[in-house]
Amino acid sequence: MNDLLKRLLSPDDDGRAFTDAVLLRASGALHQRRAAAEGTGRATWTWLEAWARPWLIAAIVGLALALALPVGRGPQGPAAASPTLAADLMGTSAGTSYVLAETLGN
Amino acid sequence: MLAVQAAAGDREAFGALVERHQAAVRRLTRAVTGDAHDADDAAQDAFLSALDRIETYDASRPFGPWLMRIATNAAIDLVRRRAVRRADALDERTPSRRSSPATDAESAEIRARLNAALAELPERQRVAVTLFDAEGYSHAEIAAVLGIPEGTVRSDVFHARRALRVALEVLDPGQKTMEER
Repeated sequence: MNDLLKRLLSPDDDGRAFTDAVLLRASGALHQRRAAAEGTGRATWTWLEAWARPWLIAAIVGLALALALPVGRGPQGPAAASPTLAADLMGTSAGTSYVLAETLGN
Repeated sequence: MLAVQAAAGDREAFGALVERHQAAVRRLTRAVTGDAHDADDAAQDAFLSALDRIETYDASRPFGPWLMRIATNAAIDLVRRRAVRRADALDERTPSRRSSPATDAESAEIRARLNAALAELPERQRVAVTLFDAEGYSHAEIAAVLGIPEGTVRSDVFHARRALRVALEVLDPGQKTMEER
């Protein structure tokens, strides 16, 4: 009886034409759903971009400033703070000038 | 999950859902409408309606019963709209269906009587007996599909099967064609 009822009610085709017909009728709705899903994705990125942009710019500016302004070096630098080291550097520079003059003279 | 993909407009996913459930849905709508062409119209309406409200589907539960509820309503709506509720309509339309080896083996008279008996049943009993006997749903599942108490489903299935059995026994009084489950 169960089989009889099932056979009686079962369609005589394999369902492909039916599936195609449903997909054809649903094409508009599916397209709208795809567009809505993509629109939602775009909105998310737009929001994320708007939120992240100032932070990103601030991070880049901060990094650039950190590289351009070395920490600990100012108007009172290490050379100026150490007169002995400055004198040594000057002396070395004078010796180097003497050696060069002698070499060129010869 | 095909339903989630279909909700996002995935044509392939929705097509797979239709392909997977089309036979059961068409059997149910066939039982309600009593006509193969009306059944396909109602089944198409059911799938489109399911897509339209797929956000209401609870993915933690089976898709079939949720879809069957929509299909039942779609078929009943179509019957109401077209006001075709005649038992003899089935007998007129049955020969127009294409034959197959399986259907050829059936007695045409048995089929006609079964069709007529099915058409005589109230819509809810047709749905209940179809889901129970043709689709293998339990009483509880049918109750969930139809939104009625399980006891009412048992009663509907019992009365529907008895009516169908009587229709078949008219042909062969000695034939035991239906076993109560």
